[in-house]
Amino acid sequence: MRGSSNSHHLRIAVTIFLLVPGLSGLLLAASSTNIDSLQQALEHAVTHDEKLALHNSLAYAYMYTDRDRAIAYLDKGRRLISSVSDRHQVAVYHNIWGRYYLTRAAFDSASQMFSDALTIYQALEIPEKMALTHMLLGYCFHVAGNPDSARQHYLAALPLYTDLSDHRGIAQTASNLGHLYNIQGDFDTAMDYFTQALLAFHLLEDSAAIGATFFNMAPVFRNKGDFDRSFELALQALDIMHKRKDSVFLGKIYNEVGNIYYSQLKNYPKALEYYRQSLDLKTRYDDEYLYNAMNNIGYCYLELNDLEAAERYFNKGLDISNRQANLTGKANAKGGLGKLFARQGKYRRALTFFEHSLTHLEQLGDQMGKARVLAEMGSVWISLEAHQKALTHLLKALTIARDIDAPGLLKDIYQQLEICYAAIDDHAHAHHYLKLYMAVSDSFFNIEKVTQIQDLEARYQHDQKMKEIRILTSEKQLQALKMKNQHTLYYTTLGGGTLCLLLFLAIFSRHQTKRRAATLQKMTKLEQQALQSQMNPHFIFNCMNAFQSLILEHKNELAMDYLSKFGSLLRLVLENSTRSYIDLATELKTIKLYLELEHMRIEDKLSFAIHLDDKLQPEEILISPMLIQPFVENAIWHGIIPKKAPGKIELFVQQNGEGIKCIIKDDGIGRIRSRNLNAKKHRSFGMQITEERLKILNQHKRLKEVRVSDLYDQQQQACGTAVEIILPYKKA
Amino acid sequence: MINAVLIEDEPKAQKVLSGLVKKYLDNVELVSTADNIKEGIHAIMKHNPAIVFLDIELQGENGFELFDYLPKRDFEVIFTTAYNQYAIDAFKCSALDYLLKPINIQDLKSAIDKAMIRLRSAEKMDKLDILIENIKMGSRQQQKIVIPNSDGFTVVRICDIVRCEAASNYCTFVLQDGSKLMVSKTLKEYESLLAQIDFLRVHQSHLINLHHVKKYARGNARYLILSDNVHIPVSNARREEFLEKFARL
Repeated sequence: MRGSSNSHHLRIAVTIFLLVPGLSGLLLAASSTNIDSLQQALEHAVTHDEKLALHNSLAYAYMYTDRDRAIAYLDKGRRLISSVSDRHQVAVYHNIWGRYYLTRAAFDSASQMFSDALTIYQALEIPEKMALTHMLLGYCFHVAGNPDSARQHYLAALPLYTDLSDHRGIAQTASNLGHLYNIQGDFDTAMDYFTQALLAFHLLEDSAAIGATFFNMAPVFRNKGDFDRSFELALQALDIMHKRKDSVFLGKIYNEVGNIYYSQLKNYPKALEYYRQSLDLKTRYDDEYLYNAMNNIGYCYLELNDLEAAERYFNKGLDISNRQANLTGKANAKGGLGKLFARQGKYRRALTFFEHSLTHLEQLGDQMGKARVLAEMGSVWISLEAHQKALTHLLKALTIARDIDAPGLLKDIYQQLEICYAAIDDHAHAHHYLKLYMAVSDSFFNIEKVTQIQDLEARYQHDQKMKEIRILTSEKQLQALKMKNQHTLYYTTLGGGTLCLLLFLAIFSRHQTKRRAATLQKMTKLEQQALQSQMNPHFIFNCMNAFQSLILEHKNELAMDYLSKFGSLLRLVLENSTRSYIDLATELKTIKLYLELEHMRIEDKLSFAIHLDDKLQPEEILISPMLIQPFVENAIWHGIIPKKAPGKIELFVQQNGEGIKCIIKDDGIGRIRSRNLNAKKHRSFGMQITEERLKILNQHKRLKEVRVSDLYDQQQQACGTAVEIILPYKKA
Repeated sequence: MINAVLIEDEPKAQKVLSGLVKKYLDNVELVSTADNIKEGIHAIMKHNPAIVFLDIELQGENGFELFDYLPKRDFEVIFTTAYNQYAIDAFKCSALDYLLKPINIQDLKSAIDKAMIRLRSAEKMDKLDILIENIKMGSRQQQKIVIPNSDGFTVVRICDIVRCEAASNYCTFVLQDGSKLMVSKTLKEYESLLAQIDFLRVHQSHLINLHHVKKYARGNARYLILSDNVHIPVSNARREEFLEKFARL
């Protein structure tokens, strides 16, 4: 079967906005906040007229929150109807019942109720109520799948709204009519009505409704084969909704953009992406259109040949549609499942699903959908080699497709017909349809168009960026303007020598001082903590242990040597801690003493080397004290000590642009093993403080604070850690 | 001759203790030295020592973890630590002996002597059990404290202590049930121990449990009423601190 995998696709669910007028204009104010006052009023109501009015309002107030209560009030109202003189309230009563049935998807009962209300309004000759009720009836028939009756009522409502100069009414009715003509395949009329709606919404300056209308128009252009216009409209709608941050609408628009990628660009992954985005938004905001996204994702997976996922999503879509008694949803899900089974070679099952889908579409009056399903069925019959049956279906599809002039669909049908006639050796017909197929293909779809659309998207994204840039620029200009104003202020005040400037300066400098003081305070605190961490009590007591041990072993000279080193270190640390800057030579001396004492403590397990770059003159370089030692200590405690064999610490000190680069390298157990060993332990206090200090010191210079790298030997075994820190410095 | 095992990760500290034992304790033999808890358990199982010297800060481990593995002990433990305020508080609370590094020879001798006495006596109420229980307890007010007296010691739950009253070189604990315990230690010693556990010295001679405050009277003569209905004076110097701590409770 030639090209069947991508040449024809079923109707993709199109999300629509049908606009339903609210009833609140008919009622006493009915919001949940005043339910209480309504109930109070009910207790004091005397006449049946009053009571019915209040029952109506209460029923409407509870309609979406507590159906049982709503019904209870409606039932109470029923007993009053015959004895009520206010016919108007009776009409309202019917309208509320109608609304209730709409929420239960009981369209027959709903339309019955609305008709009753209409009769009363007609008798009372209240044009605005008549228009409203016509609109409700139209909506009712529209969703129930009775397009002819729907159109009748919309067309009755429209002149009434026009006489009343009710722009919202006009716009809503026209928009619904546009949609109705679109599904029936009369794209030009659809376009006329959408344009009318658009004009009215412009008058009302209702950007949400304009966006919605753009969005409703997009599929019309798509059905007409004008993809770039369609895409453009969808993007415009997207733009409006982005500005409004309207998630519900956005979800629907993502869906439409997905549709374009799906059916025209055949870029299924991209389509899937948009559908998913739409699903994400809908999950959160609008349960009603969930089935749409589910079904569309199903179609994408079908095209991507992930049949399992496709089936899952179609079933989800069907499930939701069943729950909501939504015909469109059911039709699309079943159509999708039909296509899926056809793909799997389960032709009989496929046909059953197509049959069901067709029934729903018939009910909806969806000509386009019908033609598509019929074409699908034809293709299944071809696979079953029942060519006559295939022809019947395909020709039916062809009639509809020609009727509504849907070139995309025609192309698919021509191709199927060509295949079918070729199979029964009717070469004359086969040739005929092949020619038609080619003709449509050429006019309909070519590479240029694809590029055009891709250009459009690029342009859209470019526009978005430009907009952002414009916003940023204008902010900058604003800032510049503010600055300029400040300058003007500065000069005038200076010229005038007023108090203002002094005040300004005083406040400003106080603010600065305060900020500086805060930073200073923080720094001092951290430095104190650093002193503590360098003079880690463990370190001090461990040294003392070592002295005691040397004394016990009668190694008196060694003990005295280390004791004096310990004294020197203590003195240096105490001195350093009172200064913000010390020279590099002193800092290195401190580290050397520290390393020597640690060497004494763990004996031959530790060796060390300090490599100072020859080009550096350590006496001339001033740095913050005690920044390096914590990293050295860390290397000893977590790298060397847990290691069984002796270890080595190397310290490299080099010039690095605006800073002094120190690399502390050890050949210990590495970070990963160390972390495992110390899983329960917290991270070293000293390191934490030091990193924080480096951050503060470096905040004005763009220096990277600490970089740690793990070292590996030739066998890829961890063989140590190297820590690189860059210290800010100044010349002595 | 009694056997001892040392659990200590610091090589120099190992040398020191073994050197001291060898030189100054004729009746003790250090039969094994372990670097960590696992080795320590092996050594204890193998040698069945009478005394275990246990360092609290081990590389990557906490010395108390030993008791997770050895719930039944028939040896005396002598803790050693260089610097661990939390552990020191814990030892004080359960009135256990411990050695501070660098180790003082007299302290070591006295700790061994006391351990020998306990080993010989049939004293089954083990202070170490209280220490272990306390360490596992989350809330410090729920922990127990060992209060020594002339004929042994009493174990009291900290939240049951209403207050301590000083009288020269000893002090009296007043408990929730109205009973009183006299200890020959200064109030200052208990103040340093209990200050982090919501106790406050509101007066020269009164350390109170803030959880037992019933009433605070302002005015010229500021005083508190605790759950034992006794008026406790609040000194001027401690008033601010009391109000602040009480508010944070």
